Amino acid sequence: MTTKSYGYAGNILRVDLTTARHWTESTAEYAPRFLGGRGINQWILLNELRPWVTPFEPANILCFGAGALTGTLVPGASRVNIDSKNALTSGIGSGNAGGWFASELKFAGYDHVVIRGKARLPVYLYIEDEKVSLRPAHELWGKTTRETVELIQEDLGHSDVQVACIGPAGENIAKLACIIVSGSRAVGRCGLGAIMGSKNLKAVAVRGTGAIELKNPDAFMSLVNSVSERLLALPSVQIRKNLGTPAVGPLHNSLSGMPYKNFEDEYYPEEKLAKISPEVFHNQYQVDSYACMACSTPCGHSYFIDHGPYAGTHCLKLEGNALFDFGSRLGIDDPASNLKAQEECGELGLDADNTSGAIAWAIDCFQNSLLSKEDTDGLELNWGDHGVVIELIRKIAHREGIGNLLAEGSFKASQMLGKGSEKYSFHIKGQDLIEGIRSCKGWALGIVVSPRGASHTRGAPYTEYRQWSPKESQETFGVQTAGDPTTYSGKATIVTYYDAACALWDSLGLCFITANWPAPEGVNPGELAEFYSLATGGELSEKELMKAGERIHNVEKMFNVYHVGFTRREDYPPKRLMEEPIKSGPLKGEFLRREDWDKMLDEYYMLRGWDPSTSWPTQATLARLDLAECVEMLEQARQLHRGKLLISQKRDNANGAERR
Amino acid sequence: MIRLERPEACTGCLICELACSFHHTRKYSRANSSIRVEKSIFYPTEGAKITIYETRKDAHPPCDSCENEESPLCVRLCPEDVFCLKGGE
Repeated sequence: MTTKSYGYAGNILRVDLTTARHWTESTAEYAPRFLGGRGINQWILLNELRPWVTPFEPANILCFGAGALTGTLVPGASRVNIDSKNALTSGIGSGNAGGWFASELKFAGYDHVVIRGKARLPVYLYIEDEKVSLRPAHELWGKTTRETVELIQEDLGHSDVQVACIGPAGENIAKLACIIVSGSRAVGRCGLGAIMGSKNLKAVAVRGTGAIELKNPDAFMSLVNSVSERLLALPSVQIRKNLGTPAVGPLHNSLSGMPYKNFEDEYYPEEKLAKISPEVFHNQYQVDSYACMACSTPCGHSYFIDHGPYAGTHCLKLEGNALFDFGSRLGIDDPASNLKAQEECGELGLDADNTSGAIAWAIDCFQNSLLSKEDTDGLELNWGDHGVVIELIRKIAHREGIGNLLAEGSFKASQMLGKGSEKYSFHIKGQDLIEGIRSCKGWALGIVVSPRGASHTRGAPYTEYRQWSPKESQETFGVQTAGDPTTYSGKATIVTYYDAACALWDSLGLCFITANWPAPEGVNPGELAEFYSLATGGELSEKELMKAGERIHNVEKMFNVYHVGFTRREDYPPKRLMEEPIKSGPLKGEFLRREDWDKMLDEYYMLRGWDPSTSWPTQATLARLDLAECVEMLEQARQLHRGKLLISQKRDNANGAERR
Repeated sequence: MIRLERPEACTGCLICELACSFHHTRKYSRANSSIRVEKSIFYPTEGAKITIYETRKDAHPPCDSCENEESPLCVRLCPEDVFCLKGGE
């Protein structure tokens, strides 16, 4: 069955849950054009999903893709990408996580698992090398993610089985549901857990005893050695080892980039931040450090609460966003409740970011008399009341009472409630915004134009927060402004670099924290090209690899064009962030001025080769990127989404782009 | 002989396992490694259980202290210095 393939496992497993059939095809049909991971997943989705298929119907497809370099010793190459139609936006749904799942999948002989259909009763998919089976999951239904992992490992008799699973939130098709990988890593955004739940698929479990063969093993290993040594010496790596990714919280605040009380401000008062500082979590609660597969930076930490109302909580992971999600955004400055909220989200299988967004919207609505106690099951919603927040998390996962509304996400919930509540939903393309974006302009552009909706991991540069020097900026991007937060100049160029690079990392399975995202010394595309060539034997230059990244980014964009007809209108920040300045902090007064945004967006589209009035890729761009198949799709999209195109083109006659 | 110097520092990255399998087979796998690491994120107090096989078990070959390599790969690549090379048999 297996095909010999250097670097890759060589096979794609196809599973139809409706008929309980499975078969394989060769990865070589898709690589190297789409590399692996996200690239191959999204090409499969674009080709096989028709626009009229809705996210929760059996015809929707859920793809798991191991990065092409996972299962090797490339530092940080641990990630599995999961892609499907987005439960919140109906455009592209995509996310990835570290852990040990991707490499295990490759050791079992598969680069990807492509799942369609719907099982009649709850099942979980078990892959053990060539053996593939659908096993009953009715006893797992209703269980938390941790219970699910432990029960599956017990059922199979192997403690090393790797599991990607949903919790009760996914089962209840809460659109904020995530997929938890390896017990604690969340594929958070886009409601992918709800899609898994709609298929009656509780988990994918995998165990593999095979190996990854390399075309040029000794040269590959010598590159591993030199890159690993360089990374270990970086100061930023040492900080993450100690404090984990929450270390970034104060950095964001130092540039007025922490949302406070649902974006009323983007600066968290210092005395409040001090109570939930990374050092507080590290010194008072941390009990363990762990690293993902093949990563020398153990940024995964777990925490235990031994006193107070949340005593007994063992929180398995705290991300950088946590300081926003269950901290500043909700006005909470109690560290134990932050850990408790994170842990509840993990166990119930909820995306912490989107959940926080929905709760922030609800509190804002309550504070502005758009929701009353009658609507909220008697709960009084106030900023900083963590007890109520934790109750709301539980209600969302179970779609109980007010939780049923919030489980739709803030954008849809605001449409359902109406009454002007839309102004309290801070979303892009229908997915909640997590981060402060008014101060750092490149950061804002990357987040806002991200096809999956509101995402800093799809092209947003971190160069402003890390204050890259003009020299470092010039060397990498050919412009000098990467480290200057408030300038718009050059930022479009930097975002085009990173949206291609992010597509690369997600397709090769690289964690962007080990890549040249936080620091110029991270693993760079030139080294990745070398790793890829030595592993697979396919000679790929840095330029060709970046072109593959750009190609994959365009595939992701084309999914939105074809499926929902998103246009330029969807590439604008929420209106209030374009009108209301930041009220306090070092970059007080900053906001996203419409004229400047228009200009930056024009430049971005020009660099990308996208039509500035529609934001859609041009035929010439698709041809340049060897995506000729998409030209016909573009034409179909013009027919399908005629109305949206007309509205978008009207902008030229209006005073700048209109939004909402 | 390869010995455990700081097992309590193990982070579960499994770099040692892949490095070891590379020594034996010039490929990466968990199965063909002389080292087995078991670390549960659910039970941090248990720490990591690290086994170095001195005789073959299933596909796991016995540790030969990286014969013919410049230096033992697990010692060289473990970022936490969990392993060390002790002289003599």
